[in-house]
Amino acid sequence: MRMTARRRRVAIGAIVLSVATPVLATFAVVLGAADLSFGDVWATIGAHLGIGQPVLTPIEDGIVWQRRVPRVLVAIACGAGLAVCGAVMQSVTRNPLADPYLLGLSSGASLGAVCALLLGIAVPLPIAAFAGAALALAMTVGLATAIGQVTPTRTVLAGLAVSSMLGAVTSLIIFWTVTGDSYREILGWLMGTLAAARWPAVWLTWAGLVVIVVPIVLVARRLDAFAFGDRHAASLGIHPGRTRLLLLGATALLTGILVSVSGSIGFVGLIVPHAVRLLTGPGHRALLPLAALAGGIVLLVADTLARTAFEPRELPVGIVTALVGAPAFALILLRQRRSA
Amino acid sequence: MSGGLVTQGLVVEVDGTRILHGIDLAVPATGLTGLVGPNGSGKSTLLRQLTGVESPTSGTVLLDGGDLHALGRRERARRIAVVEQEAASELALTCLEVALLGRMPHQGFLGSTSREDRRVAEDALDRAGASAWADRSFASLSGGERQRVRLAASLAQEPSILVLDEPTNHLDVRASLETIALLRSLADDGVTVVAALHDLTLAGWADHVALLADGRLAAAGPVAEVLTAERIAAVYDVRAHVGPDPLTGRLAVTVALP
Repeated sequence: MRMTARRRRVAIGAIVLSVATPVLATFAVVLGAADLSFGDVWATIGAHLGIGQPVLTPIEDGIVWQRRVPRVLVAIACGAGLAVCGAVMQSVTRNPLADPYLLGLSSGASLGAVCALLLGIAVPLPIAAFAGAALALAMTVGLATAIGQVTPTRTVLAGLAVSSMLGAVTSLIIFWTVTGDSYREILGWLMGTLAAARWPAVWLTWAGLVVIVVPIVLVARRLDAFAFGDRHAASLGIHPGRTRLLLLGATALLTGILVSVSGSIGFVGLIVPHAVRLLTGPGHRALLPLAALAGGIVLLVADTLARTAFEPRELPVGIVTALVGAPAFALILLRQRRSA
Repeated sequence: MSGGLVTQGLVVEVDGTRILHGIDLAVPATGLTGLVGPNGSGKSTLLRQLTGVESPTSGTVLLDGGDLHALGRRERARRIAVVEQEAASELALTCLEVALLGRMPHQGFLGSTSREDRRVAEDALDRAGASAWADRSFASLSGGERQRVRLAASLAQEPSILVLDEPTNHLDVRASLETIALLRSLADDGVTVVAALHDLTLAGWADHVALLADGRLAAAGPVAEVLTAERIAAVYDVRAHVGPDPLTGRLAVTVALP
């Protein structure tokens, strides 16, 4: 029967992704300037966790433990978080084109973060980014509702309008306040980069994953209730309005946390859930955890490419995800047209 | 107090317009109740009140004598199942997955699907004559086939009351008859079935009929008492004839323009 075949596929997929993550992560730490091996990396990690002796020089050790390991961990957390945000938004808005980037949440979060960074508003960065993301979400949903019947395309158009506007305000603030070299840094962050990720970013993003994504994954089945719309969800005993608000609020919060670390990285939240659905089918029980694993791997690989492809220069990872993601987005649009 | 669903002084206003003007209706706990009336008479609005999914502007809905809105959402969903008109999904769900959605009100916090859930969902598909498509994509089915699967999903809810909004809409004659026959057999098995019917020729399958006109209850009771030629003529502004159907012997309504 197909159901069991699908179950087996999901199980195999989960195992492959779970094994691939640490292998690719180690590989990502090895890659780049400094001649390292897999063994060196694990020995160094072990030494820092109190197992065994250091094998590398202090400089190499610094590269591994202070730069690459945290960066890899942040990439995995951001990718996983973005993918789950996208899957959840696609489900509760019944919009296959929904993701934090296209609906303007990332731009809003950037604006919030820039306000906190540059205008000296005394709010913790992730909170400011969350406020921006929530504002952008409210604007996008409000605008899409005002246009008339809410369709996926209209929502994306509304998101485009909102993110253009908030992006312009963000740019304005940057031009107004930033001087000298930091301009370049901020620009990189705006396009999405993990270059500055260190241990505090690891704690922040992984805390976001544990506190926000784990509960959503646990109650994933409720997202299935939205398959036939709000009224059907209500007849199954779900409060659609409250559930949607809660879940969208959670995605805005997570987007805020991620953007405050990485800047706005596009298309991971859109493409990964669609790709994973090909394997798992639409049920969120399997979709969400596998999307999290796959999203982590996708951003890990993209970031490693961004870091190493043009060494010693580094690309913002957002450029890599857009280069790959935008054509995939076009593909999803084409598929949509065919089914509609 | 009788069982089943009872509405008392039910008033519903949408954006300041009164859709229902104080409905006092008792849906008997047994049998198939048809809700009929012209377009815009308030059938769908009343139906949504009976399911408890929407709240009235004033008035109450009682389920087995207790306030329907005092029930928790999940408890309500375990007792009342709803088949809406024409629901579509973007998601590539299989028919078994659609049927399993009906198990949701019975599942725990984490919503794990148990062996029992699967068995009930498979039985429901079987009962609705849809088990052959269990592994097929819901979106790939014809209108009549989808209707069976959606009926199966509502049966998987194991409700005591089944509410349907125009279940034969857009179905061909054969599929319409199969649907109404299935509802008939469910009613005979003790499920309270309430269905809005736009097709008066199917009303003869019902035990009881409630006739709505302009948001008011024009008549309610046993089908033969409510559906008289004079009343149909007055409410629908047509000429009407009511008599036994030559093929089946059921009550049959024939209408013509005046």
